Amino acid sequence: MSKVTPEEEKEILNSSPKGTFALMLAYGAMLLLAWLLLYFGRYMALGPAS
Amino acid sequence: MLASIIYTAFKLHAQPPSNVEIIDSTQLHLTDEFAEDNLGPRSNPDGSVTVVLVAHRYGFSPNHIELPAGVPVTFRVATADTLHGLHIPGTNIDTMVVPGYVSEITASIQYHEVVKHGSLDADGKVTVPIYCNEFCGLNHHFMWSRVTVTRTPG
Repeated sequence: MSKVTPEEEKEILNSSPKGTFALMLAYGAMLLLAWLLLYFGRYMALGPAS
Repeated sequence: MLASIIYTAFKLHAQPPSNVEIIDSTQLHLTDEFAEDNLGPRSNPDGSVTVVLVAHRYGFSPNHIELPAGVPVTFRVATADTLHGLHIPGTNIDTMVVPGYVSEITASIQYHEVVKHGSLDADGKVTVPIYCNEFCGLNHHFMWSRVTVTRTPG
């Protein structure tokens, strides 16, 4: 594993956490997809009740 | 998600059962609607069906009803004693039956969904259980009755 130079370290610390944002987006999308599948595919498929 | 809930609530009337109608649970047999002779399903002029049920320890009266699939069915349920629930697998018919109140829920039974949960006979009728899904006493797990769903033509 290559060593991080002080300049690179400074650049990493000052930049936005792109990996974390990507993970948040991916998990948010998965949650939304799962919710939509359950709501429309399982709940609404049985017919609306009121 | 919120948009889906709002859309289905207003467009398809998918809402939690929220009827508020009080009744004396100890005097059900003296009312017109919940007297023993008047229990069970009845057809309405618009083609819908209204089912009047009494939940009690440990069963539902009447014990067996027959309903058509694909038409709006309104369940009106009251309890003669303690808290009960009403749930039909393969449908969204699921409500609490609280002492002192009439629970009302309207839904259309989907034949292709209930057939996954019931027993199919030679005439194409599906019989599914009606469960109590609120703990109501020591024999709660024996509290169930049956509904036979008939396929509507077309």
